[in-house]
Amino acid sequence: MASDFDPRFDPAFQRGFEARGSLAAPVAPRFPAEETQRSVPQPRLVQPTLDRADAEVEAQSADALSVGPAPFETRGNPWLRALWIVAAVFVAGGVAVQFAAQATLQGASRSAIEFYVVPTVAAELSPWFLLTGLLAGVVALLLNAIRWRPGLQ
Amino acid sequence: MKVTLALLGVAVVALGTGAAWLVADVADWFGHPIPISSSAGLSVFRDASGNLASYLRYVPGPALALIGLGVVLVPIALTLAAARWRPRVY
Repeated sequence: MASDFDPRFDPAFQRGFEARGSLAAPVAPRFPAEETQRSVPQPRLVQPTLDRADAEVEAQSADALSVGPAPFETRGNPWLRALWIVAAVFVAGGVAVQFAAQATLQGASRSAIEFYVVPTVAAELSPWFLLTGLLAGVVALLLNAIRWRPGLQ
Repeated sequence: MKVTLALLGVAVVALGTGAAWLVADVADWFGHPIPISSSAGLSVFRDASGNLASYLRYVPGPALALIGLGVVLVPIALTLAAARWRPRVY
């Protein structure tokens, strides 16, 4: 029974070991140990040696990992939600103001303010809202992309 | 958090000051009509009292720049706050 396992490797990592119970008696190798060692090339275990420079670099990396600031969180972040809302409102507002200015220019104006002031102010302000809203949306998207991990959201 | 609140405060002040400045500027412009002229090439309007009046083209002043500054500061403050926010651990 025990000869079903490959004698070159530990039976604990071979198929069928759990079915027989891990408390079973250790499996005796089919071949004598010396013969197995002669037939199968054994990998040479080389102990890694760290010189002083490597050790310092490793210590610095460990320090940088442990002391660095904790990354920001996007899930449940109320400010990020506000940023999304501001981005949407600014873009929508900029587009709406631009359309309103165009409509005012094309329609019949009843007063001097409607004729002169509204289109001028709208034309001056709408790029601010539009560009800022677009940039806010890009930044919000970027923040989400930086913190995105598979299966997080 | 202090930086965010400071930026939001500056943004609110800029927006409020800019809007007030703009309203005052427009009121000043509207309060100074020019006599109608057939050679000026300007549109003619009827004011509240029924008189015909004409206006020079309105040129916005620094008020709009102030409003724009406030508009830009709002997302900047929100971005900083979002980047610094951490969930509260109880």
